[in-house]
Amino acid sequence: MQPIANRMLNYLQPQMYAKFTMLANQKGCVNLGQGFPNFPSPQMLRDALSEEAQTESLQYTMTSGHPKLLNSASKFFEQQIGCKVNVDKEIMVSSGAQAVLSCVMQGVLNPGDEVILFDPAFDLYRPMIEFQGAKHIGVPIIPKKLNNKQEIIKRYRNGKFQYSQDDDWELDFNYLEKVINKKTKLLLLNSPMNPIGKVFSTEEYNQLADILDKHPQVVVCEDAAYHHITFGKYQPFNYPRCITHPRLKDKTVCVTSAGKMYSATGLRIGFAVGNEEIIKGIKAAQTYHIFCLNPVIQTATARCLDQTIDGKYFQSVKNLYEEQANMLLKGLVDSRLNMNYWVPQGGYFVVTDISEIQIPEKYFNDNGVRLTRDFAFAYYMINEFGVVCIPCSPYYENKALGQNYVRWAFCKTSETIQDAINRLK
Amino acid sequence: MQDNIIADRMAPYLQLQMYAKFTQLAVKNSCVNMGQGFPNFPPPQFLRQAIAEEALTETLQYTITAGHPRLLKAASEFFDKHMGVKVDIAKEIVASSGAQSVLACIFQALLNPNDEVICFDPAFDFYRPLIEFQGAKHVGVPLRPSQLNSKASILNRFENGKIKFSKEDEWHLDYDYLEQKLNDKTKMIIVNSPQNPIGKVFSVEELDRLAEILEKHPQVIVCEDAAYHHVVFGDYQPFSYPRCITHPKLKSKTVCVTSAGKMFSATGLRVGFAIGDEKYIKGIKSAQTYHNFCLNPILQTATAKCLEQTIDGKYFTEIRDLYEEQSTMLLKGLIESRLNLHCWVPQGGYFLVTDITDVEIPEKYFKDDQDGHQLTKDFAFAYYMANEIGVVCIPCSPYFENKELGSRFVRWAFCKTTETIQDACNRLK
Repeated sequence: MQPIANRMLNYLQPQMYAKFTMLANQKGCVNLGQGFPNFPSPQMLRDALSEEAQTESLQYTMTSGHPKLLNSASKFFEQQIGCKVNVDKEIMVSSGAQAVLSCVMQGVLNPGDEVILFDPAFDLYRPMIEFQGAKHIGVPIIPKKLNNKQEIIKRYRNGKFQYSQDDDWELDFNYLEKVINKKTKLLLLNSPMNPIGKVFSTEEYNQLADILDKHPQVVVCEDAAYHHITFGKYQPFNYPRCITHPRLKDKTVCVTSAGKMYSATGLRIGFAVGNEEIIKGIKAAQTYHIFCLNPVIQTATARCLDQTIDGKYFQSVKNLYEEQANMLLKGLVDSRLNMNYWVPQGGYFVVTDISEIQIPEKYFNDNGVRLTRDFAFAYYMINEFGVVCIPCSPYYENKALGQNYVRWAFCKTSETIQDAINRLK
Repeated sequence: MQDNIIADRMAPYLQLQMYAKFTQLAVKNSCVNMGQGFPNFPPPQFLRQAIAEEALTETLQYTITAGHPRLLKAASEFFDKHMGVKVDIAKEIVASSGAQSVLACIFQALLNPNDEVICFDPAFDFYRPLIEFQGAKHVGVPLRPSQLNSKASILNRFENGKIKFSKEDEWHLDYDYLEQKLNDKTKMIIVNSPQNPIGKVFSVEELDRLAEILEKHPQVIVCEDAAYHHVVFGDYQPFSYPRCITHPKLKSKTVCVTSAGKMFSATGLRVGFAIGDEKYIKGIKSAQTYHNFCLNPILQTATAKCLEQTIDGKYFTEIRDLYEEQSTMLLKGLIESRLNLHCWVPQGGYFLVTDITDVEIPEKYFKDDQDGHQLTKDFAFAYYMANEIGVVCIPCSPYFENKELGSRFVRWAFCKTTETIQDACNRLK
């Protein structure tokens, strides 16, 4: 007689990122899998934590967040995002963007509600939707074309790949209109998008707004965890957003991550900003989960936001990430692997197509279970090349669609990326 | 935007939560706050020092969902030494963001919709929403005081400024009622010992009896909430009192929840643990994966340092002695107050409960000042206290399935400085 609740039964295995990180460690691979930076977090964050630890309260604080943090975050968002936030009603802090998302789902979804995701969608969304008894529907975003090595290298100039229409991944708006219906409660989009690095355009949001006008019950959850990392023509924080779009902002909750902003994924501070009703529901969800966050971490984060409100820090971080993205992409293009490529517009990752790779048959078999190509490729990389990447089929409703994509993280030191590139030559 | 954005499950829970509300009121009216259960004396310097040091050196990237290895090791060693529980670090322990988060993960991991969970009322009022959110049903089995104690009878029992728990302070479980309520839908029973709010510590005999009953219902899991396991009075030593997680017939079906934040008088720390059989911990880890994902590593290694530094237990003996003094001071003050309260000596925890049946409360406090709806006596009393006496306490009807049963009781926190308690006692004279 097994005691575990039905909802958890599909999720008892070690989670994918943790599993691949363990493998990376075990086999001495270069880990381009899990999305954490392996360069140091900024000293200002450490100093802030250390100082606040000596003086800030260590007792319960407000569920919605420490007042200092709510104030600092609101000011920061107003300055950098152009979004005015009522500190009492339109913002909440939680334990990382992930906990925020979990509270959004609990706060907003009834059993039987439907949630639209744009695939490839971060694979932690689906379980959180299911846990609330809701149903997730994947609307695929599809690359306009495959770019082989010869095609993409043409756009490489002065150490940078120039983004072009050939790198676009497109949303099928007709399909979206087909699947959206009265039961649709939430539309979850991620921009810059993990894993493909897509930044949605204003035109796309205009079209989305048109469609949502016909379905006024739909709430938009905008996952902006990578909002500080946008390349090319976009500046940090400054790119088309739902939370500032005239026809979407009133129905949007925007999720951000201080941990990602400060290259400290273990920080566990994230924000929800948006519609007062949604925030009310999220606060209630948080009350009955973590109740409140640690005050020291919150005031330390507030200090960092105050110190970086002029945005200069984020300019240099963005430039760093853009260099790393280009270094990795060039290395993947120069590698002996015959893949197809796209230039990312932001985020931490590059996705490649592996449909033309010859993968030894043995990697398709895991203890008698037949693996999809992307998993087989990932194990092939680990065992014969010593580089970890992440298979993308878990990001899709339709796994077959995702089986030719893998994700590589460039939030790594030059040394690490170079090491990976050498192993792939 | 239209009306029903918020999910139905949250609808009863959108108001400001009770403890926060009374704390706000305390601040607004400059009351002495004996309501929310947080210490108002400083947390130990070694905790601050540990966080400050770890902040400079520990990783700031994702760590293992189940908990930082150093913390799991330190906690396991601590529990082995003080609770007599051997824990397999890889399988039988998980750290989460406070005992509350642990409980949320436990319910998500183990409760299917329509499962039933038995709570012993008065039960911490957060259990019920957490149970409901998983689609399960909570069933309250009340504990009842064996008698009402007059002020004189309690005063008589003081010796050299101290008072010992006795039979007259016992709250009893109705086992027949419990057996009636248990059925094949029952999936879990929550045992909170020391119990918030009454300070009850379940005895070996009571756990024996519970074990017998549960043998007839082998699917039932025991969720032991031991958040106050370091604060036990009288003949009990910190951590050393009858527990389900060490009871021969209950341990294999128990998940035990503890709170580092409470242990180190730092309720904002947000580090708690679940220990128990792998088959439960496995599910709890998965629930956590898809909520917090992992905890902040610095808080974890700092907590580990504190557990390592206090493993000889001396720190906890001192803390316990402090809390016991504070509980006695408060009890004496309530007895000597002008209010006609009935009291019981607590066996542990942060709180004591008084019966207010014989207190005269002005009629106006029975109406909610926001929307005029009728309030139960305990709430009326709490507002009377906050507005006219200047002391905040917590009404106990939210701790009961049957609100009427609970409307006789209010809870007072003694996890406060001597100055604070003295101030409260003066205002109550």
